[in-house]
Amino acid sequence: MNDEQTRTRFETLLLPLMKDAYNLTRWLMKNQEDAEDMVQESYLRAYRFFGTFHEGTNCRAWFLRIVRNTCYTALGDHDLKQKQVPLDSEADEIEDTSPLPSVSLSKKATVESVREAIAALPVDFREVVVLRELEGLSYKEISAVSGIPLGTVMSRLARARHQLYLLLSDRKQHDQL
Amino acid sequence: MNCQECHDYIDAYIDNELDISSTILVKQHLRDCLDCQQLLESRKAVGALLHNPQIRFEVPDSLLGRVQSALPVPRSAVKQRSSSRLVLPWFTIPLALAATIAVMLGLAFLNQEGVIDRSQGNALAQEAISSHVRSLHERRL
Repeated sequence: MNDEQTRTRFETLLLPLMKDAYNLTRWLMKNQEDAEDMVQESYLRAYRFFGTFHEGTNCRAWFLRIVRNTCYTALGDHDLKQKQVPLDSEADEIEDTSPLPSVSLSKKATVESVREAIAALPVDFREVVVLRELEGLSYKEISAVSGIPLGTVMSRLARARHQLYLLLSDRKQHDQL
Repeated sequence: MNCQECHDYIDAYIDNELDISSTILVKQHLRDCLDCQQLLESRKAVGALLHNPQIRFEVPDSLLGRVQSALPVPRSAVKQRSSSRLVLPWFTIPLALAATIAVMLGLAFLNQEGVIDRSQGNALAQEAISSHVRSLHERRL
């Protein structure tokens, strides 16, 4: 395959994934300008390493892993440490569930309040929520993208959803005051 | 299965990521436990909010073009582009020759018909030569 064919193949496979890449970067970086930079950087990286991609394997997971790593590199170790969930916290059991009636939660929450709640999550939790709920990835794919074991995917997702529920419930109670 | 185990598995249960035997155990527990049923409902409520397509961020229109222009141009394409600048189409030279001949014939025809004022043209040429000669004389002085 010559350079031009490689470029064509690359564009055919990866450009349709831009909406997924942008959504992930937008949630990880939290602003549009940085997200756009990260998408561009991710495509350049992916092009550089396109030779390592094996046809027939999961292209979306392969590319989202690059996107995710590009964002984490940009966020930097220092910034990331502040945002990462401590390991002992991940191992904790899910505390008080005490759910409010789900119907009232659905009625009260707006798009903006849900977005704010997702943005308030620690980056590790946000990542799995976005990959699962917004991108529809399987646990196995999330594990491949994030480089974490399946069990960790499951526990992070459980804690993230619980935190989201609490955040949205607090908002609901606040709205009612 | 107790409540704690059910809590551990409830997300994978909702996401259809559990194996069959665990799925059956969770189902059986949920049938008899109101607290865990409530937990299931709260998880589903959060899921329903997150599945709203408006929660996603849409790609800005300019990003596709930006990415495409940032990607390296293939070497073969560069070669092709640069070579296409040097190689003229085969008909360029014959076309240029034909155009020149047409102009010359046109001028000859006009000249023959007397459209161009020969005396005026001669006078202008004479004046140009005279001024040039004068300037040469002035430089010598």
